[in-house]
Amino acid sequence: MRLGYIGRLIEEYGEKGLSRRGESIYYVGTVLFVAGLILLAVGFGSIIFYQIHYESEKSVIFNTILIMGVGLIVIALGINFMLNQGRKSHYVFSTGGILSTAAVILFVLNYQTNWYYPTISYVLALYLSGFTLLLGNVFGNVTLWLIHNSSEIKERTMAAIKREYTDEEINRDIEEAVRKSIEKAGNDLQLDFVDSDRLRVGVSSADTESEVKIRDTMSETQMLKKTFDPGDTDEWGNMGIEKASSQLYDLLKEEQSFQKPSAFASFKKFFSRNH
Amino acid sequence: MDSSDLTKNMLKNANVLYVEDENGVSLLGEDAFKFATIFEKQARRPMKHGIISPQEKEAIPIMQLIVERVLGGNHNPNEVLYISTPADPIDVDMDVLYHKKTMEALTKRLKYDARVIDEGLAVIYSELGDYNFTGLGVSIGAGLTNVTLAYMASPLMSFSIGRGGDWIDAQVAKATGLSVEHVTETKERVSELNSKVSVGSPEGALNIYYDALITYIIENLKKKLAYISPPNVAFPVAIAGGSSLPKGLFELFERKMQTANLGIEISKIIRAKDPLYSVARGCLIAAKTMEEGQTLSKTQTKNAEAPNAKKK
Repeated sequence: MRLGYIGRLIEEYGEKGLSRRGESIYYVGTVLFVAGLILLAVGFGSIIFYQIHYESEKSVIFNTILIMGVGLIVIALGINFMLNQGRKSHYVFSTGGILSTAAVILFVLNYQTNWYYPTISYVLALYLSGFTLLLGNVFGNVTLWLIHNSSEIKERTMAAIKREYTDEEINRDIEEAVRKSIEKAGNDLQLDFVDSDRLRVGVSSADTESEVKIRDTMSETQMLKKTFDPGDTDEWGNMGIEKASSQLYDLLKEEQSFQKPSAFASFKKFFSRNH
Repeated sequence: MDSSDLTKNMLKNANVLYVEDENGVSLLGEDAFKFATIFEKQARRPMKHGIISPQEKEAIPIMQLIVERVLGGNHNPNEVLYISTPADPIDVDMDVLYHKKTMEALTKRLKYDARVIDEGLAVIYSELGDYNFTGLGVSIGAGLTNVTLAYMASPLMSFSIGRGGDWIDAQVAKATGLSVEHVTETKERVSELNSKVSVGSPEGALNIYYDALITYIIENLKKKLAYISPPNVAFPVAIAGGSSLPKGLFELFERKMQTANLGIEISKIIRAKDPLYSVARGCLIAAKTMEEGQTLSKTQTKNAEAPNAKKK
């Protein structure tokens, strides 16, 4: 009943504050976390400073364990406060906090007078279960947060991909699909000319028609064939070779015109002109 | 015209080509234009914007007649035939597919192995052989202007625009108030585009609209080239088509092309040897290449099969 009441309280608080993750809660968590670390550091400092061992002074052992035990709880609580948690997490978090705090209180009450087994086992078990709940809650929340974030990234990526399709692109895709469909329908089309002999040509048609005759070597045919099939070989004396030869001749002739004539060529030219 | 014996006799004596059906007599060809000008009527045309006219109900029978008269002679069965069709137009809402299919069906009916080629590509096959069939082929026809950019005989981009000789005729007729037939007749008579013209003559308007047509072609070409990444080579340009015939048009085109920043390097601008037959010649080159290729592959197959046959 009491737990339920506290849970409800946390729930209410969560609805008002924790769930909304105000900045102050985050700072409280951070302060707790830092305080826990300090306490833990003080505890370790005490171990080193007093060189604690089995036969050390009871008060020194008590204080050191108390500082370190409280420090660990405060660290776990701090991390829990920093996380944005759901309703169930609040229950786990508060249970863990209560159990570990109860263990610390029992330790304080029993250490001086009644610190024997099985009391030690019960207190240690209580503390460990409380601490495990707090750490487990952190672990669970972080895992959920990672899963949520990765799915959010995926959603965002998907959304980004979706956003790449602009209206213009969608229209273009539709037009392309329609074009393909029309083309397919066109290819399947079987056109039949029913009234093919309806028109009778006038008697003078023969006199008005004439044949146009043009002499053309159509050398482009060989060249086009060569362009489509470059691996093909040419026969000696065909148009392709003739064309390539004439092009080479023109090129060499052009180059020669740029070259300076030799002294012998000028001499020869002079005499041939005089002759 | 009425289908009376008198009319038919008159047409026969005047050597006028005509066809006859249940509705009467229809004149064909050049004479139809002449009669339309005399009687101030509009000549009906089986083709509009480079495709079979959807508005003309007699278009398909007339096209069928033309195809039969041109191709109906003796030929080998399944002889390869290439027919040129316009590329998809970018500024006119029309689909060339139906026209393409109809023309294919009309020719296949005559037992040809009919294939279709873009008009611009036919110009490239005809005029740019010396450049490995790489370049830009422009065909300024009556209904449409076709443009194709090809690299090594393979088209990279093809489009047509809904302006050509007919557009010039319509614009000049609108500007001068003359009939389209009259303008067409003047246009075909005008052998040179000249900036010195007499006031009110259609020649002046022809100059303006030829200039406008070339600017329109180049601007659309620039727009289309912006969408593709052609290979980094210098492209020659060949210009052909019936509407590129007037003297001075080539020079005008050359001037405008040189100043236009097309985004590709232009090596040379060539005028087709015979602008009127350039597309037909390109189709013939394609057909001959295809047929020779088929013959060659058949021979190779036979030669490859022969040793096997001997072994058996």
